[in-house]
Amino acid sequence: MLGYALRRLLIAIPVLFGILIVTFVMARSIPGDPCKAMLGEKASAATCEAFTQRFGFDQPITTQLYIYMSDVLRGNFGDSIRFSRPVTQLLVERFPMTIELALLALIVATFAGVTLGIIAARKHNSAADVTTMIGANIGVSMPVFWLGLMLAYIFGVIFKDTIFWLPPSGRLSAGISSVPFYEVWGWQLAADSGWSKFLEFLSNLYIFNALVTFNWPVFWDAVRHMILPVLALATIPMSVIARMTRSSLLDVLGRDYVRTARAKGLLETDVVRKHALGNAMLPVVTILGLQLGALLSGAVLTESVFGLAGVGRLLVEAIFARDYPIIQGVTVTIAVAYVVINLLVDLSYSYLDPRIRQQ
Amino acid sequence: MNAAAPILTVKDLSTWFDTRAGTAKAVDGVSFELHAGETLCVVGESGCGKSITALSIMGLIPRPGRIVNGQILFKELDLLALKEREFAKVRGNRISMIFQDPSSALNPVHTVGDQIAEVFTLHMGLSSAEAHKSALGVMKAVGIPDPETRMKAYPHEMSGGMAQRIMIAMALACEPEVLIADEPTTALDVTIQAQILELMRDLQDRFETATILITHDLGIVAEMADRVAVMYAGQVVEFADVVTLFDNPQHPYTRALMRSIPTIGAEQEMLEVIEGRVPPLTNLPKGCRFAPRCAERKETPDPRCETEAPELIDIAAAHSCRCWLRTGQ
Repeated sequence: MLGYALRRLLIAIPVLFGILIVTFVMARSIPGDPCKAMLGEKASAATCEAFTQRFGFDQPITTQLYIYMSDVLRGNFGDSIRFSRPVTQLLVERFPMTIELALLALIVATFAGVTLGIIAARKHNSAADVTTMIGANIGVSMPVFWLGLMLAYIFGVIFKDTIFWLPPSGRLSAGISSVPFYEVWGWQLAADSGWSKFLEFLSNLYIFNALVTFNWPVFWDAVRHMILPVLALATIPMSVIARMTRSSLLDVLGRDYVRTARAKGLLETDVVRKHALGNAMLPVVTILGLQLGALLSGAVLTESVFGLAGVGRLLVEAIFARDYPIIQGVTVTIAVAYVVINLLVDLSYSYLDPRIRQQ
Repeated sequence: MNAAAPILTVKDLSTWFDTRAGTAKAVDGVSFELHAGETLCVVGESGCGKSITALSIMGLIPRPGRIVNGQILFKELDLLALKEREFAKVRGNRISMIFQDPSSALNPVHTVGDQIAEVFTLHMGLSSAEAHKSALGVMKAVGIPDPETRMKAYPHEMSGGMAQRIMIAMALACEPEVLIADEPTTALDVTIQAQILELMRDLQDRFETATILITHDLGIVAEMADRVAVMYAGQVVEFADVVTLFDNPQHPYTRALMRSIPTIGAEQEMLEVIEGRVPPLTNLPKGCRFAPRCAERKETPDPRCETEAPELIDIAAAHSCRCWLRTGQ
């Protein structure tokens, strides 16, 4: 099991190299000149010359790649052109927001999707089944940005001044701020160490931070701000998971071993819970891994609609500004997350299916 | 033997499936009695309603099937009138079933020990530890070598014969009064078949379980059966004890089946086959269901064969037959 995980991690190394090279090339293939994008159309040739030299864009592309790769291997994504700050620092500030959003959306999508799928499969061909599946089809067809705007409009505008009102933008209400847990606990952090960056990263998960410091007002405020973006983001994966659970469970319910379970005298609820679900979840877990990737990209749109300062918005803005280090840094981080998630999914198979465990 | 009250009585059972092509009368008016300790074999070719009869008794008819008529009495219980919750207490406990393909009938994600133990926790209310201990006991009883290690094995790690022993262990865990075995050896190698049948006979003697053995193999019938029901197109066409059936088969279908058995040593050019096919269950002939394939009808034609459905009528003591040519005066 451990050997398998290590082997998989080793296989991931060339994949990550590939990702580095591809993002490097793709960032530079975006038409437009970083100098013009950054300093404006009227920047003089001399100014641009200085700019290009300063960021090394005059070097041959292979040299640039070499420098970039050696930096990345030392854990340095370079400095943002636009903010003149390390990309790593920007990731520490912005990524937690996206992770919080994507994880919450995944949790909601999984619970709701699996539940709806089970209901639809158990009541196959009934009104409940048809309604759920029509709902899932509608859900999967709704664009995230449109659904986001509608939710923001309904709960932020129409329900304004009622108890159903939910904040349509931002992470926290004005006047409420999240105090990092290490400050609450009075930890002294060494400036600029990897450990302190990690703690800062954790503390930027506001909901998590509020939970561990028992700061309920901040917790509720952060949760309330997350409801609409999470709903907008979770709808598509929820529908996909619901459909997958339904078809997978229907397939499993027709299998011989389910008939055996019934013949043993188990009640239908236990047949589903103990014998069908474990087998039916295998394809659903695959979908789950893929959906988390989709969630990260969906987060880009959701963050824009709900005015959240996450990594998705950072990326979009960086693309417009031709801020190569940020584009590369964010893309690589998301790609690494994707690889890791899929590794976890593969490892979970062997937990779920003994037939894979022995191979 | 027949003097005692039967353990299981099936009266006029009809199980139909509503399909797009029409109503398929998979089981149509089947009646029989099963007594303690005896083995009743149900024979017939694929699709004749053997398995659906068994699943009807278990209350496990798959959709869109439904029992439209009849009565199934199990000792004091009217099974069809039971609520699902009550029926579940009988299933796997007092009546249990073994299926055809053991490799697909066991859940791939649970160990076989857990799967057997589940029956004990379910019906006897044992704790998990006690249930596993009892599971070990039945695994020994069905002749599984090294049961302590095997308990932790998953179904895919076992051979077909071993897996079927696990199925038998599971079915016999609560010492049921009735065991239904639906082609228990069809998916197994011939050598393993003999072992499994031997095991079933041993266990039957030990627990005095009444057995319904469903098969299409007349060799198994000859070896295992006390009484035999021959089914064709959803109906019992002949009913007799095993000796009578083999010595003196009456129904043209049974006779044709007997002639299609290869005989060792006999000079035989070709195996005899029954011409034609089983009629579609959605569109059965008006008269006798076997009439279109019946060879004997050509020799001694009876006009009713094609117009009137024959009844299952006693032609001798404990021997009944559904045929105008035998019973039609």
